Amino acid sequence: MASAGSGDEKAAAAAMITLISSDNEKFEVTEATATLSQTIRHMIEDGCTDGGVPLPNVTSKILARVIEYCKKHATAAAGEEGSSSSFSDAAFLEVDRAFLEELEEFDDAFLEVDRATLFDLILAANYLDIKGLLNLTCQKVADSVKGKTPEQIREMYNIVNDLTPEEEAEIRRETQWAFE
Amino acid sequence: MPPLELIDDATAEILLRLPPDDPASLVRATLVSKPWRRIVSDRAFLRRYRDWWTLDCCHGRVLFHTIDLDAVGFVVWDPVTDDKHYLPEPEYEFIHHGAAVLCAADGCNHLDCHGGPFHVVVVTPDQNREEYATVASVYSSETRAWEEVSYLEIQCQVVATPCLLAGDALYFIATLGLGLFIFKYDLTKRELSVMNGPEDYHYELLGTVMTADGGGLGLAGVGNFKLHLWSWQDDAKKWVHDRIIDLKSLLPVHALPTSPMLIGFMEGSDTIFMNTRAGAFAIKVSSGLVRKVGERGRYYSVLPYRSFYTPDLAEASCHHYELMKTY
Repeated sequence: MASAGSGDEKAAAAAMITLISSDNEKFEVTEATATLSQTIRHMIEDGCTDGGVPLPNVTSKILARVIEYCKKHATAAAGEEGSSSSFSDAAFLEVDRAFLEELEEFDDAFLEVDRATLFDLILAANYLDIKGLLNLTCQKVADSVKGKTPEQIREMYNIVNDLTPEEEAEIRRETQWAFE
Repeated sequence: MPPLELIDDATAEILLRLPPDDPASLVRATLVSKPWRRIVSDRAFLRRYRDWWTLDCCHGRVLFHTIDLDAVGFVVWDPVTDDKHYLPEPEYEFIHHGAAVLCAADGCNHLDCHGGPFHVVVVTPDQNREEYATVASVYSSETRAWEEVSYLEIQCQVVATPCLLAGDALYFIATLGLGLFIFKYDLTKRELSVMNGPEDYHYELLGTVMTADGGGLGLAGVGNFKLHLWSWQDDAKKWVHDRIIDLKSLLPVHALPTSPMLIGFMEGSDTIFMNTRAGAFAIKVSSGLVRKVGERGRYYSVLPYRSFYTPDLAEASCHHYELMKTY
């Protein structure tokens, strides 16, 4: 069962998909990389990826970063699969831990971007439905929001306060405990 | 710098991840702007927020089977009060058994029944009889005694995975050869009965009972990266194969060099637990929501909330403790 599965994966890995950014740049990626995106996975399943996949909501700058993420995470999966074919528990544990640590380091480094890029990555991950990337990027913002006042959050993310003074007073009255 | 803009969906994804141990964070978020206020006050968002974090809850009692030198047998542990109740040894050996601990207080809502009376129900093949038999025994904390309450002239191996409480009955998985059976112990009638598993069930799926849609008896099995779900239709007296879910679309790729193992379910919800090469994950079947709940380890079975049962392996018990702590 395991060998049949990895055979399928290799066949899939050979297939290439072309992704086209909003500024019309073309990126060629393996199907294994592309299918980390549920949106693209569904397009492949429906057979509508011939001639490339246009992504009008994603710029080339952001798409390049997204592909970098997907490649890394898809490679990690493939590498781990290879290690399991010569399965020995001790060796496997060793390899697996190294992989996970490497992935974590990659993720940490990946998040070292300015806020505008981080928001663009969130939008792209949401649009392309890449669960791992969405979780990673959203958690980063959530962590930075935690414990901050509304003013600090607005300043940090350049959000315009469109609440009227009356609305603001009303919310503060209702939720006084949260500001003590 | 121009204002950064996110569509509401993306903002919701961020706010969903504000931790519930600091509820003020979510409240303060309502004061940031109109869109933020709209998102946080949305019912669907609040439901998702609750679902996202419900795995934190863990109360009730824990049932262990120990093989410590000085205490062989069942122990019921209350994690809140740290009370341990050692059960006397039953008259016959429990092998290939399923067991459950239940609150025994009348009309209890089980929100605060720590320290109250409880029952332990065990279903096991009985070796002592001349004919093959499976018996249901009940231990009462009040009488401190075991009582055999019902038996069937059929002998299967009751699988030592968590059983299901649904309606007024407990359901235990059992096997005979390659066949799957389910023992039903009716708590009101105090009666044991047996039913067949689904016809299209394959023994390699190593299934677990679980709460089906609507609160009844359900069954889940995992094979070849796919999760199969059945539900028992009590009116029609038949199984329905409800869904097949591709786990590759739910779990992170690095978790799936091999097909994951089903290790438990959360009673009263559609959340199941899986062990993978990258740790233990909880999956909410209806929404596809996935959360990592434990690091890599040898989890054999896990059942949060109501009861908690382990195979007779000290090592497994240690891991279960660890997993519990993560809730």
